[in-house]
Amino acid sequence: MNANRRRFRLPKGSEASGLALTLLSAIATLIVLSMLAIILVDLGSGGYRKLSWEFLTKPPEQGMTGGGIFPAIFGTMFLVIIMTLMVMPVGVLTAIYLNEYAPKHALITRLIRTSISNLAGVPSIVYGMFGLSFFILFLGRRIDSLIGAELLFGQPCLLWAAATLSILTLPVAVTATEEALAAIPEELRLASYALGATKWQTIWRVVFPKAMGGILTGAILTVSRGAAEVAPLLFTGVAYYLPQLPLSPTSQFMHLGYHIYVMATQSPDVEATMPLQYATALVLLALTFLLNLIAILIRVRLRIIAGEV
Amino acid sequence: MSQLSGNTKWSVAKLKERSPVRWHERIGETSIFIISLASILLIMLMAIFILKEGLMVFINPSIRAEVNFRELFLKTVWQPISEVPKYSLLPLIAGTLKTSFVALLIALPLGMLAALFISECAPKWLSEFVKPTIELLAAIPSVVIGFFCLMKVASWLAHAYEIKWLHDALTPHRLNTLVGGIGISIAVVPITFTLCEEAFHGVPESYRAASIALGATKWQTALGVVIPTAMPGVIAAILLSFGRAWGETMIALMATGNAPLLDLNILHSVRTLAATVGAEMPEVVVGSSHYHVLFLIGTILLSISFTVNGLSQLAISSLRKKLTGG
Amino acid sequence: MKRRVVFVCERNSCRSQMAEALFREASKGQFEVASAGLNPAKEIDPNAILVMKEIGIDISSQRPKGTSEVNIVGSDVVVTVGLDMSTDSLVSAPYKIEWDIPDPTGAPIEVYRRTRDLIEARVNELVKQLSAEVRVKFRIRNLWLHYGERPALKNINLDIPANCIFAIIGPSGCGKSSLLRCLNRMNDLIPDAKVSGEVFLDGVNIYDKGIHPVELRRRVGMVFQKPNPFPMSIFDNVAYGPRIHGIKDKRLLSEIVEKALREAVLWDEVKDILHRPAFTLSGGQQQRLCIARALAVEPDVLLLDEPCSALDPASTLRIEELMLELKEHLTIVLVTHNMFQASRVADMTGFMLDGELIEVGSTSQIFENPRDERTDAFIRGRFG
Repeated sequence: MNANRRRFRLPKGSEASGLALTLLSAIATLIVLSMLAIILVDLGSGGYRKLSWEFLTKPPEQGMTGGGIFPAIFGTMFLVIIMTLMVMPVGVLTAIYLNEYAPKHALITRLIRTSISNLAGVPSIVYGMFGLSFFILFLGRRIDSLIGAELLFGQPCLLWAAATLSILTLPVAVTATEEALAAIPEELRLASYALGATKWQTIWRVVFPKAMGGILTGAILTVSRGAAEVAPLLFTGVAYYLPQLPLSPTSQFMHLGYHIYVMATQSPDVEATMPLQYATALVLLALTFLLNLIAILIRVRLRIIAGEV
Repeated sequence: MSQLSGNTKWSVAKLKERSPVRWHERIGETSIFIISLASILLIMLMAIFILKEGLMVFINPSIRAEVNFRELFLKTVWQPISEVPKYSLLPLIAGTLKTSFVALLIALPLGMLAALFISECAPKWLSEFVKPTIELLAAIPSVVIGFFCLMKVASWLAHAYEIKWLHDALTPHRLNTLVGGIGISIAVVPITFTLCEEAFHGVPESYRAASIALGATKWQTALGVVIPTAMPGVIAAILLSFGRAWGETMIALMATGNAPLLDLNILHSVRTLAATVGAEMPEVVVGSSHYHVLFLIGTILLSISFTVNGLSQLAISSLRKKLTGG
Repeated sequence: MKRRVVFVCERNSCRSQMAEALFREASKGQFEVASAGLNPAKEIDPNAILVMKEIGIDISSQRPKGTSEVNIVGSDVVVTVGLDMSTDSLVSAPYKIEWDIPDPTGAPIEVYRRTRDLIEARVNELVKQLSAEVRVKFRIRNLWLHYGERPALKNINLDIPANCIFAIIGPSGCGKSSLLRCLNRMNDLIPDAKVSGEVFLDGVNIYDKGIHPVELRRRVGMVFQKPNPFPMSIFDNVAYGPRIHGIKDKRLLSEIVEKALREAVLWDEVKDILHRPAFTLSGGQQQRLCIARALAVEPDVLLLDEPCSALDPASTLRIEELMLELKEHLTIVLVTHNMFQASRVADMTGFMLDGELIEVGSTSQIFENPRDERTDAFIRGRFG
């Protein structure tokens, strides 16, 4: 009996090494999670004391060592809104083409897909260089000479920064929208065709409304990605300090991320502005997290609704 | 109802009439197609406008007087703003490789092991929690990670430098390759994790069942069946992680110290390619040699990212073939 | 809708005019009639007028028409009266009839008389044949369907009568759903599906170049295996079809919705919850909603692809009752794997195997006295 049982047992070594591997991989997971936890705790504890209504609604004072960050928040929001208006229509329509129309193995489909995956891989700083050389120096200067302006579009400004960011976030928008469209069951499309609907009617009356939740999630993720990027802005329109809010697309703007960068690396008295920096970083982090959490919640809700059907 | 009949009742003649051309649909569908070509146009424009300015270094005679191939790739000093500007890219390339190496050394094992844990060991509720959490980690703006490294990671490591022998042997700087590498690894780990997890998850459950039915343990199955099957996906994950690490700007800019030193000491400051562009481009005079050399750096970054992306696409398509048998 | 009969003859068309007049007389307005000649004379043949007057028909007011003036392509029946050329190049029609009646032109009046009597006899025969026959809804001729290289349907020839329930049975994968999808050109949506052959709906080949599948699908509704209501309210689901076909008037829409829901015997259950999402209904109600949605565009034909396979017995029974009611003004083609269902509701049944139509007959004949042994084996295998 005993001998029999032993025969069915695994060699001792493999059991121990299995346990070790489980433990090791669990620890790795824990480390990754703790990266997030440590950053959250550190920024939270460093920044929450400075956080107040005044901080969020006042401009910087006393040579940036006091006051609030309202212009930076405003600039970030303005930038991201213009970016979203530029990228979402293109992203959604591209995804509709890819998911609903594109012949699967056609050259043009593969070209579009390759372009999008390449765009996703380009370092963000390169986008900044493209923004500078294409939008500002090429397009902007040309528009200026066309309308006879001295220097209006041919300089770093909010419009071009938003345009640059919108190209950067295009892959996010396309991928998220396509996922949402691909999740729509084929039977719904068939039912619509069987009623004599054209492809166009089917897409806009059945597929698109049903995918709306998923597309919204995608839009939020796009916004969050756009709000998090600083590198492409460095030379396309961001400014460290501006006395006025940027009310026109051709003005420069302040930005939360850039604000953190400059204060942390270039302020003459780092110690004095430390709490301000922490609070600013916390605000930016909270903004992106809030957007991502909303996206995650919408996704969970959609999954629950889909489960009910 | 009479009105309805007029509207929807059918006759053969109606079916035979040539169906009305729906102009608005045709126009709409054509515009969708044209708009979806935007991505192709953009990537081409990007290549053209970066290359155009970057390759000017080798074309424009007045720049060639200042910068040449020897200067760029065989000398060792990057000093663009001085009486006699020196434009050697070597220290920058070395710096980028150093930080990427450190970052990947941390991120790859962590990301892969965590992905294995989530796809092979963890109960469902745990993976349902971990996956969105790591998504959140990916959502942290890189400027915030850079800030965190600059403020905290650098200070924590500085405690270690107080050990005398370490200090004497390596002469550490406060901001250095290691600090930058750690920071970049935080940005890269979610990419490694997500792509590896996807690759492992894509391995059909039947493969695992077959292996376990042959008497293999969970880990024998993971190492012997899951990883080999998902290998192309893992390779793609490694490539894309490298691509992200190589081009990361804000963290490098804030946490590496930005001194263009050419050595192997990971406790010394470095300056990466991307950080150089980020730091110097805002000040540069458009059209100067310096400006074009920076765009040459952009050209390098762009070509590396295209290469990495192309290779990873190859890997992923080979994985798909493997799994679908096509 | 009247079926259209066209007589065509060579040259001066006096035979086709005589045939038209005689047919009109004999069929008492049941059909739409026309005649044409390939090379018509300018004036009507005086001898033809004469011999027709003898039997009390005046054709002197008629004018000879050429083939270009008469819509031959849109006809259900094309009769060629002594035409030498092949009619295949002329037209594809469900009925093509060739009469060998010689041309009397230039002959004495006796020959004209004989020609008249010959035509009259043939016309009477034809009228009898056409009016006696049950109206055929679908006439399928030499239909092949390929998915890539693989044939899914092999040379199907089948007539489906109007106002009946036609069931297609057969083992899974035999092509019965594929056949159903050929009837409203849903196969067009599958990239590598290729159809050849002819399918006539009320005499119109639905695979003709000028026919747009979108127009066709309005007339041939379809209900799928799994209930698939749109993610909208009950009302919007039913109103979807009328809306996409351009009906905007709210009062009219709600009339249509009510009518369709009543026809689908769902009205009493949902009249107070019209604006609730459709997926809150039970499975059986959802399927009846899908039927109502298809009925709202007032189709002539309803294709049902295993409509009850996802439903419980009670819901199945309700849908079967519904089918029997709908048959009054619709033609229903039903694909089912449930042989009891076929025997309960269908008037006619076809048995398919491996993409071939093995046997077609009245449901009682197929189930009680199958002619083909494969049908027999299938039915007994299922029953025993």
